[in-house]
Amino acid sequence: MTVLDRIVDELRAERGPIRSSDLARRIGVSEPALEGMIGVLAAKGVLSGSSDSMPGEAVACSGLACGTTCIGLDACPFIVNLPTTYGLVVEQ
Amino acid sequence: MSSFRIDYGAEIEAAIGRLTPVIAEATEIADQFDARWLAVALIDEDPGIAEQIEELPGGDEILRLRDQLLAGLRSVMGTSAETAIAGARFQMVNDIVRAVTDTTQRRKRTRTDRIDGVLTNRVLGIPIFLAAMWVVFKITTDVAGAFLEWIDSTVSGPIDHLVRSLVGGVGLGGTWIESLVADGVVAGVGAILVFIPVLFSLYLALSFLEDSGYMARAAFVMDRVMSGVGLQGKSFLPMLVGFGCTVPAVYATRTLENERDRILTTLLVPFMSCGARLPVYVIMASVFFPEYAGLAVFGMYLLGIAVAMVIGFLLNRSLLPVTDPMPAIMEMPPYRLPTFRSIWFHTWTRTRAFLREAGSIIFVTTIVVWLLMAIPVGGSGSFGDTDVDESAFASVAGAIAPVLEPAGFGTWEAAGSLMSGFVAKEVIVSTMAQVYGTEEVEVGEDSAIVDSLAEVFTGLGAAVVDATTSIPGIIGIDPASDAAEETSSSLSAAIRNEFEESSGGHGALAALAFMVFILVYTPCMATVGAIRHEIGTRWMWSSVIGQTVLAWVMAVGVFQIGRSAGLG
Repeated sequence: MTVLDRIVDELRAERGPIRSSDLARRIGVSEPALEGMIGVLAAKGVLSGSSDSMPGEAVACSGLACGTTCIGLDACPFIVNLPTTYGLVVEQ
Repeated sequence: MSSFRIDYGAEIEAAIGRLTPVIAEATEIADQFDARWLAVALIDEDPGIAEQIEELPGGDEILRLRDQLLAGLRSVMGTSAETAIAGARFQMVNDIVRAVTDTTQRRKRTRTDRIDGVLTNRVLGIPIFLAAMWVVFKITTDVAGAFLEWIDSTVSGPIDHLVRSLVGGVGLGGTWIESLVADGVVAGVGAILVFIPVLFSLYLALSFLEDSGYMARAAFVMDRVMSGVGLQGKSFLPMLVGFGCTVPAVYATRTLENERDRILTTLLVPFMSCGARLPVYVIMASVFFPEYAGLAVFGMYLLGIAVAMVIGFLLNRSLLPVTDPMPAIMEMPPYRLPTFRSIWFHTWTRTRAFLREAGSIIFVTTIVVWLLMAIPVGGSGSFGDTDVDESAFASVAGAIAPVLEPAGFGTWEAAGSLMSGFVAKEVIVSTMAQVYGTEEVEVGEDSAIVDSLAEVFTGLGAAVVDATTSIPGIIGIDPASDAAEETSSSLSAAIRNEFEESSGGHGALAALAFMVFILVYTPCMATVGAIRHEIGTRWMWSSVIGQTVLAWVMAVGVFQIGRSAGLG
């Protein structure tokens, strides 16, 4: 079993969110190394990341409609500095 | 440097073993590439390599065999070949790193780990989050409350007087133009100004939490709560965005892969109390619960979360059965000491953005409401000079008002405010200022402009002092007085009188029911459009009708149960 398989297995065994620092400790790698591994898993389509498609201007204010209180990345009080989140991609 | 070979596992090594001799036989290709390296690159589905090989003699045969092997690998392995290859490479790097580095330092808990141990603790995390949010809303209500009163008294007093004097000076006093300028334009500008202290305080407090790195932890903590009602890991992000504005929150549900999760999250997002509802809470709480305004506002936000959780729980067991929870990895930012410059930038940018976008909606709606209030329906008035009780606005709102009587606020003023709130929650305050402001007390008609200006600045000074002295009270130190002062502006007095009258002396209960109604019913037209766009017309109507009915049931429940219990 490779280290990438262990990331996926640890994630499947978890029932809620897991901090990347905790996961790195569990599989015995440094956090920067884990970030690289997560990036590869995301690039291969095993994980889906929140950072590429998340609520900022791209999704919220793409010209379809836009709220007034939150008009995009600069104006939404809850949009900036949220954790980047990666979830397992489930084949439908 | 000695060469080494990565073991990619039995299945992939077997595929490499079949591909390598075929590559070696294609001489032109074998001359350019190492056979094993090329076999690995092809199985890794490197697109650049495949393109190069395709053009060379024997390339087609190699690629056909590669495709056959990949199809076989897919059926045998649980994961794709390229992921397995990447995994083997990372494993080798990891083995080398572990062999040559001292990992004792890595195992030591950092300061961030120790802080996280408390702030994201399974037991302490949620109480700490709630306490942090309580402080945020306490700051918002206490600091902003002082300025709200000043803005209201300044707009409805000296500024209104000044404007009427100027209009009268050009010979238009007593005409509909004076009414348009004073009751429409000035009231509209006043309603926009009301948002500044509220949102500025909120954004200031949240920017501090955000820049410190705490908001990311709050998201982590709340994720566990959300998963308790069958919401998937990533659902918490749209829910959190919903505290800012529901429209982008609805669009943010696109990040959820599963349709069931998208529908459920979209239906629950409107229960997260958006920023536009906050000024209404602050005004109502300041008028009716001055000592517990922060708690009342905080309670509205908690109630929104609780309602969402109950609805989510019920939908899980009926229309949208729960699926397995989808875990997620969260990369937390490090803790930082926020800088004044950064906090100021965030706060100012957001407040300005809100005013720019919402200001126009508020202003236009104010003029529309004025117009409807200026049109006489029956009675003996004329355009711009009619008893407001006999206006078109009062007639339409009055038709809805009886439905709201069991909730204690069955007046055309309250019904009209809720009606305009369906367009956007931002305009509730302006409509309230217009409909309740019609019973204003005359403010010093003979006083000079200089006196009016002096009154404005004196009031501002008092507001600054009030806001400053309220800050120690947030942490339990109250050097000024033991009891908060009740707001006493004309708008506050008019709202208090109307609610007391409509509820038969249970004004505070009726106000609470009104706040609950605002929290639960459909946020705005833009949200309705977003819901339709994302999950279809059927779910949109379910959301609109369901929320409105639920809002009525909850408001009536709050008022009737409270009255039966002798509260308010």
